[in-house]
Order: sequence, then structure tokens, then C-alpha cells
Amino acid sequence: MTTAALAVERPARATRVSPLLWALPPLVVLAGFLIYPLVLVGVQSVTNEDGVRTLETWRSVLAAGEFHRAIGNTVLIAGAATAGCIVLGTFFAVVLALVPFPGSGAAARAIDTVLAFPSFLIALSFTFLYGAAGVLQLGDFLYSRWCVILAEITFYTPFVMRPALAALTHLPAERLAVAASLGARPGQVLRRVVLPEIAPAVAAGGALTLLLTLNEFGIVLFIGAKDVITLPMLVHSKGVVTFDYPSACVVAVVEVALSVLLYLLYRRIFRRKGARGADLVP
Amino acid sequence: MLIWSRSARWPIWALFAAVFLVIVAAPLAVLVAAALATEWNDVLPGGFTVAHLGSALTGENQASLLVSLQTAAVAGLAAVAVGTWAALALAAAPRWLRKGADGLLHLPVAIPSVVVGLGLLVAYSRPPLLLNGTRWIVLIAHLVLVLSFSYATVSSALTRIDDSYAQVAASLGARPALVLWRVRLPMLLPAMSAAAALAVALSMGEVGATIMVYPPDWRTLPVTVFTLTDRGRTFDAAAATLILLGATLVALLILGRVSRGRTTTGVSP
Amino acid sequence: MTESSAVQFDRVSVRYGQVTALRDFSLDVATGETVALLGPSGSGKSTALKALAGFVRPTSGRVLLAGQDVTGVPPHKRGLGVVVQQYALFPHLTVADNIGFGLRARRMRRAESARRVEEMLELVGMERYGRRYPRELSGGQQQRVAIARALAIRPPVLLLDEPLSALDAQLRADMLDELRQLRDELPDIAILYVTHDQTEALTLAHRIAVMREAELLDLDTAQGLYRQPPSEFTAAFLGGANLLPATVRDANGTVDVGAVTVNAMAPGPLVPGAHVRLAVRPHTIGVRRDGPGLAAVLTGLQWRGANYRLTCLIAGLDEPGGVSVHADVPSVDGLPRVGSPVRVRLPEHGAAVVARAGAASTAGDAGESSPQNLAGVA
Repeated sequence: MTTAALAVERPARATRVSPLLWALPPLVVLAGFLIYPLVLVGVQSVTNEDGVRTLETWRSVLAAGEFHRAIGNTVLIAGAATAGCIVLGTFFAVVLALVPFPGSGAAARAIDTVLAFPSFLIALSFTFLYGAAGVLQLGDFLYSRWCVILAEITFYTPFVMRPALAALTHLPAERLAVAASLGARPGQVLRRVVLPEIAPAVAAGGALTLLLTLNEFGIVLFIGAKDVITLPMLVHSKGVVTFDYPSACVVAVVEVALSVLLYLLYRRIFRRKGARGADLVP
Repeated sequence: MLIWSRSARWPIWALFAAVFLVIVAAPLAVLVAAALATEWNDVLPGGFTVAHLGSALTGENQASLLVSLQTAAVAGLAAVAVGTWAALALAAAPRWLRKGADGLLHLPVAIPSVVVGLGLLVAYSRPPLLLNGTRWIVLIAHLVLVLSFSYATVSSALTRIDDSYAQVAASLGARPALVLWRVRLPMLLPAMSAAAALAVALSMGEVGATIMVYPPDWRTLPVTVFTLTDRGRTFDAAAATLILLGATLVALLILGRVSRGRTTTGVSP
Repeated sequence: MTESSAVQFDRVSVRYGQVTALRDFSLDVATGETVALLGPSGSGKSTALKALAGFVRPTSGRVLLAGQDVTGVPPHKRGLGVVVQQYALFPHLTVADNIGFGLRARRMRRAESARRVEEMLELVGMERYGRRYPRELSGGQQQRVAIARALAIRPPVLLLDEPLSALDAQLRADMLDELRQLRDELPDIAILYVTHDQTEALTLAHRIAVMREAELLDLDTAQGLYRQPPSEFTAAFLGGANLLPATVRDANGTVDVGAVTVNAMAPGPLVPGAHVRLAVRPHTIGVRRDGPGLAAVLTGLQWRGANYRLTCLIAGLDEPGGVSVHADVPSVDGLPRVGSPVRVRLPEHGAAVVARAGAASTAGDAGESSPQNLAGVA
């Protein structure tokens, strides 16, 4: 107890200041490498090549037909791919968890591994599968939006399946047995017991998928369809193909606004409900 | 459990198998086959060769592979360090700071990778810091993009670890630094290695930001794969992608081995 | 008890935002003494322990160790032994390294520390387990290691926070025996034992502090609290006493319960004619089909192996709806059937007049909080 007497009161003040100081370094990293660049993107979008503040770039970009097509494509592809992922991810999760077969564990892991792959891998293999000279010889299908959507469904299905599967493992088997013993047919059990239980997890996974498909770049780039321009593609082509920074920045600002809005919505809805499993951590 | 009669399960399994084949198995199988194909103008490849794989491991492609591995290692390590630091620091921070910083640290998930790249181009092509044209800008882009994931992994593991471990350690006379070094970090090690694995996997496959910022002397393998596809050398592209997957897998296995060798932690119930 | 107290809480309050977890808590624990903090969950007992260990900071008041104010001292400079509910054994360290953790933090020389660890392993009977990892141990073994780890630093004070709550019933009884032995082997240590289990408190503690709603309600020796509970809450929480309305007949403790007169123990001279509560333990109550006693109806019957627990509804006693009492009677045949009239016989001695009301009749039930003196006690 002699040591105790030496240090009265002093540590109390230290502990009040230091948590803020300790949190500073990672935030500085983020501020320097993400926030500051984003702010400059915003500034650049209202500055022309001679360094004059003007809304001219905004006016011309927003008026261009390619911008409208890009927004339309982006939203359509993201929406359709997300819907597909929700349907497919739920189906996979329900079969794997509730109608298991020998090897279903391996199948689940195989679907999961897709998460560790780069998304362009899917696009690349699609060129062989669906390309004009490939397995199925589907002609121009490869260069259509539908091919991009199918590729995104393939890649993003695990993002829905994983939380759904996690939610299903929390569903006690007894509840299904009881429902069946009360006379509910499988379809009814699915609709009235299983789906309500996993709905929050599926919704969270779906929201994350929507966010990621809005931002998807690799798949669209690799499929290389000239008609399927999305917002990220537009940023890329304006930024490093034609070196028109101000225009690229305008598109980027629009895209960030869209994504961040969706992201804030996502956090607001799912953080509060505490729908786990749909977290970023796979 | 859901379907009680065996006969009723078959159609469901058949549907599952069909969808699984088309959606999951076929793309992977086709990629492997393409990497080994001499030509592919019919339903099946015309013949097999390891020449593409060979070329993927030599010259420029080999250089790209090394660049990718180094980028993933540096960015992954930095992301785990920064992410772990952030998770630990924010756990002790006041509520307002924790909530705000948590949102900020998750933000890169919502920002398109292309925009991250564009932002770095715009910001670091001018004074005070000129990084455009150097490899640092690639490393920074990768760090920003994987940081969210490593932070999320570590911080969610941290919330699962009871405060009482650190409290008991302190009661036994350990100063905060010792508690961190001997109790908190070792208990977080499994999460940190999981975070590293995730970071490496993501970094190895990154294209969006890299293609915006890479200098000629620091071209990652995915960018090389894209140039190959762009020039119509799709078989070489497939082979390089296969090599990329293989390298990623090996890196993940090594990471898993390291974390398992260092600790056999399973947080006791 | 200032200089000689190993532990002293001096009007300690802990608030988390709007919630008061501990209010105006004062308690002294002498060296060699074991005090149990007993109460339902949320009663503030764990908060008191955390304030002593330094894990939470009191909003007001002082914490003293051996007479020195340690209120602002961080946990690692207090030198207390702490055992928490789930033990918090470090999963990445062996049993020996866990026990040696505090010694290493104190930079004790390796050889000496190894010797101390051996000694501690021996103390808790785990000599052969030094190289194991915590997850390879059973719950009881983990608990022993946690205690050895806390004692290895030779603390003047040992804090135990619900150490048996993670164990199953049989193991709990065995570990209770071991803890009792350990307590007797450590005459120089003050022990503060937090629990919600009355058996643990009665078995281990010299004195029991009954906590309720963030406050210290009653403090006395274990026997004192059991025999003469100062409040209705303590009477019910410690030993599950029945509380019957009674009228004081004379100052020495003779009271009337309905038509029956009982000689009860009283905390002081009583005021004749006052209405009081009588605490009667279930095992002292007899139930017969006929004969003398209070007229009642048997409303419940539970076989509990060694005995039966009967629930009887006594009509009248100035309570609308009557008063329900529990009685534990030996397993003999000839029990009345549920629904039949019975006679409830109160013990001649052993019942106690409860001085203070202001409490619910069952443990854990949150009644009105301010204890008040009954008119019955002069």
C-alpha cells in the first residue's frame, strides 16, 4: 500500500486527455488520404483548367447524354443485381441450412471463397463462357447490360447468403419442428417462420450489396462493353483516358453523394436494429 | 428440417445444383480451362498447354506479381496496424468521438474505388506533397481501401472481449502498456490475422483505384491482366489471373499458419 | 475502526449518467475478516467491488485501503487480489503464466516467481496443471487458478465477485467448502465477497452487508441477520422468511398473530398494541389437519425430496384475501390434500419481530425504497 500513496489524483487527469490523443493518429491517416482528397475533388469540380471558379463544368457534364445514360445504367444494373443477389442468396442459404445434403458444407465454403476473389475474375471468365467465340456462343450477350448484371449477381450473392446463413443458424430447429407439428406445410413454414426470421439479415446484406454494386468497377471494365457506361467507368475514362479532371470530379461528386447517402441510410437502419452478420466483416 | 419427405428434397437439390453450377462452378472452371487452353473456338477448348502459365510467371507479368505481393504486404500490414490502433483507441474514447470516428473509418466502403484513386490523383499531384508518379500513391490507395475492413474486423473482435481481462490484469499490477502488450494484443491476434488475410485478399484483386493512379514502374497484376485482355490476349490474362489467385491463396495460408503457430487462442467461454 | 480497517468505504456514490449504481455506501472490513455483499442483481454490490478495485471511479466519497485514500489511484497501483465472475483467465497464457502474471508485472526475479507460482498451485491443489491452457480446465479448476492468480501477489485484500455463479450446483457446493477452508488458511487477508446467493454468504462471511437498490440496507454478523432480521427485505432475502402481521402484546416480544400468541425475539422494547411484522422461517412452521393453530387452507404442495413445501392461505389477520405462508415439513405420510382446511402452528420461540418495513415480501421484488421505523419499536 505504500506505492498506492504516491500517486493520488494525478492519473485521473491524464486519462481524460489521452483517449483523444490516442485516437488522433488513425484519424489523421484517414483525413490525409481520404477526406482531404475528397474535398479537393469537390473543389476541382468547380474549378476550370485555368484555375477559375465556375459552375461551367457542372453545367456541361450534367447536360451531356452520356452522363444520363451512365446514371441510368448504374442504377439499373445495381438494382437488378441486388434483387438477383437477394433471391439467390436467400435460396442458397435456405437450402444449405434447412435442406442440407452431403457436401453442402463444401458448397457453402465454395460460395464463400468467391468473396476472396477479385470481381474482374468473373468478368474474365464470362468472356469465355458467353463471348462470341466461347462455350455458349451467345453472340452479343457478353456486351449487354444483362451480362454485367449476371456477373455482379455471381460475385455479390455471398454478401447476402452469408448473413442469411448466419441468421438461420440462430433459428432453433425446434421452431421448425413445432411449426410442422402444428400442421404447417413447408411452404407455410418458409413464409411464416423462416423468412421473417432472416428478413433483417437479408435486408442488411441486400443494402450492402446495393452500395457495392453502385460502385462496382472491375466487372464493367473487364467486360468492356462500349454501350454499358456506368458512373465509375465515366470517372475512369474522364480522369485517366481523356485527363479531363474537372469533369471526372463532377461525376465523382455525384457518385459519392449517391453512395454516401445510401451508406448513411444503411448505417441508420441497420446499426440501430443491430442486424449483425451484415457487418463488413465477412 | 424444412422438407420432411426425402422425395420432395430431390427437386430442390436439383435446382440448387443447377444454379450452383451456372453461377459458381462454371466461371471458375472456365477460367482454369482458359488458362490452360491453346485455343477456344468451340464448346470445349481446342487443346491444353502450360505456355500461358509460363508466360504469366516471366518478364513483365512476373514483375507485376511481385509488385502485387509487395503492395498487398505493405498495405495489409499498415491497414492492420492502423485499424488495430483505431479500434483500441476508440474503445477508450468518449462516446461522441467513437461514433463519429467509427462512421468515418467505415466510409471507404461507401466511396467507389475509382473516386478514391481520382481523389489521390487530384490531391497529390500538387504541392505540398507530390506523390503522383511514385509507388507510394498506389500503396496509399490500397491502404485507404482495405483500412475499413481491417478496422471493422478488429473492432468487432474487441467488443466481444470482456473488459474484465484488462481489469484483472491491471489489478494484478500491470501498467496500461503492459496490459496492452501482454493481454489485449495477444487476445486480438486471431482477429488481426483475419484482418490481414482479408486485407491481402482485397489488395491483391484491387483494380479501380490502382488503374487510376499507378505509375509505369509499379503496375499490379490485376492492371496487367486488364492490359492483356484489352490487347485481346485473353488466354494469357486467364493464366495471369490464375497465378494471382494461387499467390493470394498461398499468402493466406501462410498468414493462417503464422497466426496459428503464434497462438492457440480460443477465447474461453 | 479507522486505522485497523483493511478496507474502508466512506460514503461512496457511483453514478453512470442518470443511473445511480451505488448511493452513499459506507463499510469497513477488518484484516482477517470476510464480509459478504449480498443482494439481488442491480443492487450495487458489484459496483462497490469495482469502486474498491479501481475499475470504476466514485462520483463522490472516498475509498481507503489500510487507512490511505486510494480513490484516484489506478487499479494497477492498488495491489488487490481480484477474482471476477467468469474468471477472465488469459486464454493465451498457461496456468503457470496466468498465476505468475502479477509477479512478472512487478518485475520479480524469475526463480523467485517460479517458486511462488509452485506454492500457489499447491495451495489450490493444481500442482500438475501448470503447463495447461485455461480452456483445457474444468470450471472448478479455472476458478482455482483465478484465485491462485489473485493470491500470488500476496494482496492484503481479496475481492471475489460471484466466483461460484459460473459453476453447476454440485460443483458449487464443493467449491464453497474449498473457499471456506481457504478463508481459514488466510488469516491476514480481508475478503470482500460479492454474491446473490444467501447460502454462500451465510457459509463464508463473518458479516453480511445486505444491498438493495444501490444502497446498503442491513449490516450485521451472519447469525445476527438470520436470527433477528432488521428489515422485511433481509428477512425474506436471507432464508426466505414468512412475514406475518402481528400485534404487540407486551414490550418483551410477546405478540398476537390472529388468535395465536407467540413469544418472539425483538430488536428492542416494543410498544404494546402496535402493529408489526413477524418473520417466521418455513422450517419452523408446522401444519396439521386439526388441533391448535391458525385456521388456513392448503393451497399448494411441492415435493422437494427431503421435505415438502406447503403453501397455506391463512384467512383473516387483517389482510384482505388472507396471508399466504410457506412451510417446509418432513416427508411423512398423512399429508392433507390441496384444498383441504389445515391448522398452521407457529413456533413457540425463534420467530422474530422485524423492526423496519419498507420492503417487498419476496426477494428481488422492488418495493418502496426508504426503510422506515415501525411504530412498534420504541
